[in-house]
Formats: sequence, structure tokens, C-alpha cells
Amino acid sequence: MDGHSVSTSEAMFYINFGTGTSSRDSAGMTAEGFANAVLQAIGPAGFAPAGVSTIRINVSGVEGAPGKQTMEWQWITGVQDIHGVTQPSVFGPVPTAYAGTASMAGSILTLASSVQPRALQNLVPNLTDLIKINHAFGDASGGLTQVKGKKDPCHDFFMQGRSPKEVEAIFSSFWKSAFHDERVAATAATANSGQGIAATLRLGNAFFADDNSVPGTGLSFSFANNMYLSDAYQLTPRQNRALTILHEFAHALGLIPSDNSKVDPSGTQSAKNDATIYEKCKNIINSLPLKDE
Amino acid sequence: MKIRPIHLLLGLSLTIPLILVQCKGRQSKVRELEWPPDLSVAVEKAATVPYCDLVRNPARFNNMIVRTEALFQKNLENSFFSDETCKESFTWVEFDPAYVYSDDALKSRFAELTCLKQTRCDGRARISAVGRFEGPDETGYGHLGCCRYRFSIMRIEKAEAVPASTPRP
Repeated sequence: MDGHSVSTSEAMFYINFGTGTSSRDSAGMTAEGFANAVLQAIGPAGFAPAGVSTIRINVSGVEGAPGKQTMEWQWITGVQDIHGVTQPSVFGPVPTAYAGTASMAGSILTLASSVQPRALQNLVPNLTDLIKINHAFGDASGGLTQVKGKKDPCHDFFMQGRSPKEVEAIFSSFWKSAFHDERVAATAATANSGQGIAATLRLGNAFFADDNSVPGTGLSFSFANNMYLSDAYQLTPRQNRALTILHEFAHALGLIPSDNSKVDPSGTQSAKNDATIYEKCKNIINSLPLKDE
Repeated sequence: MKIRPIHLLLGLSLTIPLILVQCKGRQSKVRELEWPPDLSVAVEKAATVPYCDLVRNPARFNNMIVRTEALFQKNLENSFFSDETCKESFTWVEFDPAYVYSDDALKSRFAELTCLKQTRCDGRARISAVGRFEGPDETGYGHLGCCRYRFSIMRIEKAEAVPASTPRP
């Protein structure tokens, strides 16, 4: 049994019951029988506040149907990221301490006197973040495409020793691997570099910064251009993200020197790699759409 | 209308408590999320281990929640612990989801010192933190498999500026 408060206005109570392959437990008790036993043991007052005459307990929840798993959904509001910035509301699955096939505790535990707020156990991807990731990769893919009949240093740089088809496959795989990982303190971290299709990318909070509403984003408002620009290369946040993706993709292909902390604790090689990518791809980066909207 | 001193005093006496109440409300917002009891105990009781002891005796501390102090550095692609007295090893640093419970003011100071929210910025700070130590991992944790060890910060307890004269690793 598990009680959650999903927001101040939507409190829910769930009975997770069954084995995942049967709606009866190992002793043959049905979900309805289990709910009635709980009611009798605790009494209706345990579920309803004073003045409430009707309570409803849904017993067909998670694992209630033989061979099926049910997902419960909720609005997640007011969640702050690890730096204390409140995130937009998202619709996501209700977390459960008994997800998967692990057995539940065999006895009825004392219920909380009231539904208790809990930290969320799993968060769904933020749609805004997904849009930014997809724009960044979509924008970066322009650097890999050659305009017919024109010399393109960015395209040539990324095609070194590989066919366009192979580079396209690696880029697609790298794109699919990318996600916003709030655990990452750096802006971006590539794993399995130089291994092509095995390379993966995790993106930290800084990657998604759009303005200086959160102090220290390295973005300054340009009155001349009426938008925020990065201190480095004077790029808009969207252009800046495309540069980061091209930089990391160059790692995936093993085209630029390692700039990890082991070989480059000062970060100078990372800046040199940025410069290499920007020099090769500045035409495409500078011509990108300025904003994500 | 002429403002008399008594009006000013009355206005201030009503306004200041209101501001204080608002500030208090904001500060307590995150703390309303209480630590899960088991985790809270683990963090409170975490053993204090010098950073160099961690990387010199990794098997002893692998997967343990410990309190340590080290130089934290961050740039575009790296975030890691180091220490002048044991330069042989860097430790990749991440945030555990429990980091959300850390003190807001300390988190802000840490973010400011190390430009955590800035895409292309080198920042560093001497920090004391409680977290889970893991390793060694031969394929390596972090960017381009930089580090044999990983430290996931659960609670930050100190963040101090590093003098510019402090040598970089």
C-alpha cells in the first residue's frame, strides 16, 4: 500500500494488488476482498475526513488485471530542479515504491494520518527540454549536409574517413541517446567517444539556459539585437546549443582531441575544440534560426 | 498630502513584518520536502573521509555514503574533484537527486562560484559534501571516461571561493 499526495489539490490513494500475472494474491484473495479487509481493519474513518459520507477505493489499479500493468498518471506541479528553479507542470506517471515485479510487503502497514507529501521518484522528460534537444540536433545536422556544388568545411570535417551514410547513422544514434540529465553538473558529457554508434550524450542544466533570469548563465542581453547572446562567440542560446552538439558529435567520431579532466583539467583543450568546430561550422551556426519558438 | 512621521512609522511597522513573512515563506519552500527518513540518517551519520583516502583506498569506500572535502572544478564538459596532495586521480562529480534537499543559500553560492548554470565557463570552489562514492570503474565515469571514480553529491555543506593563486591540477 502506498499513499501519495500528487499536488495540493489532487490527493490520491492507491492499492497496488496482485502479482502481475493474476488478480489474486498467492493466498487466492481477490483485490475486492483485500480492499474490504483493509476497510474492516482500519474503518472507513481512516479513509475519509470528517463530513464525508462516501469514499471510493479503486481496486483495479497497478497490477490489478492479469498479465497487465496499469499506469496511473498525475499532474506534477511546483517541482524545483536541483538548483531551486521551479519547473513547468508536467503530466507524468505516478511513482510507486512497488514498481516492477518485486513483491509487496505481506502485511498491512499503519496508514499515514493524512496523505503525506513526497519527493518525486521519477520525472518525465520536460517537453521544452525535448524541443531544445531536437532543435539543437536538427540545427547541427545542417552542418553535416553539403550544399551541392559548394565547398563546405563543416561537412568535410565531419566526413573525414567515413561515408555520409555512416555519419548519418552515427548522428541519428547519438541524437537518440541524448537526454537532459540533471545529475550532470557540466553542460554536456559524452561517453564512448570515438566509438561511433556506441557514443552517448548526457546534457546538464546549463545546456538549456535561455536567458539570464537565473544568475550566471553566461548570457547577456544585447540591446542592438534585442536578444540574449552568449559571452563566447556572441551566439543566441539556440545557436550555442548547436555548437555544443557539433562539438560533442566530433568527440563521438573521434575527430577532436580529448578534453576530459584527465588530460585537460584546466579546460583549455575544450575551448580549443570549440574554436575548431566554430571555425569550420560558423557559416551554418550563424545562419541558424535565432530562437526555439 | 503631507506625510507625518507617525504615518511613516505606522507604515513601516506594517510593512516590515509582511516582508519578513514573505521572505520566510520563500525560504521554507524547498524545505517543505522532507528528507526520506532512511536517507536523512545515512547523510547525517556519513563518515568523514579525507578525499585522498577515498581515491587511495577505493575498494574500502566503494558505494559508501561519505563526507569529504575537495577542490571542485567545472567547465563545459567536466565536473570533478581533485586535491593537490593526491594528483593521481580525479573523481567525476554528479548530483544525486537528494541534492534538492540541500540548503538553498549554499546551493546558490556553489552555483555562483562554479558557474554551474553557464554553458562555457570554468569555475571552481573548495567544497565539503556528503555523497555516494563509487569506483574504480575501468571504463571510466563522466566525459570521455575521464575518471575511475564517481561522487554523487547528496548534500553540500560548504562552498568557498578558491584564491586565484591556487594552482590548477
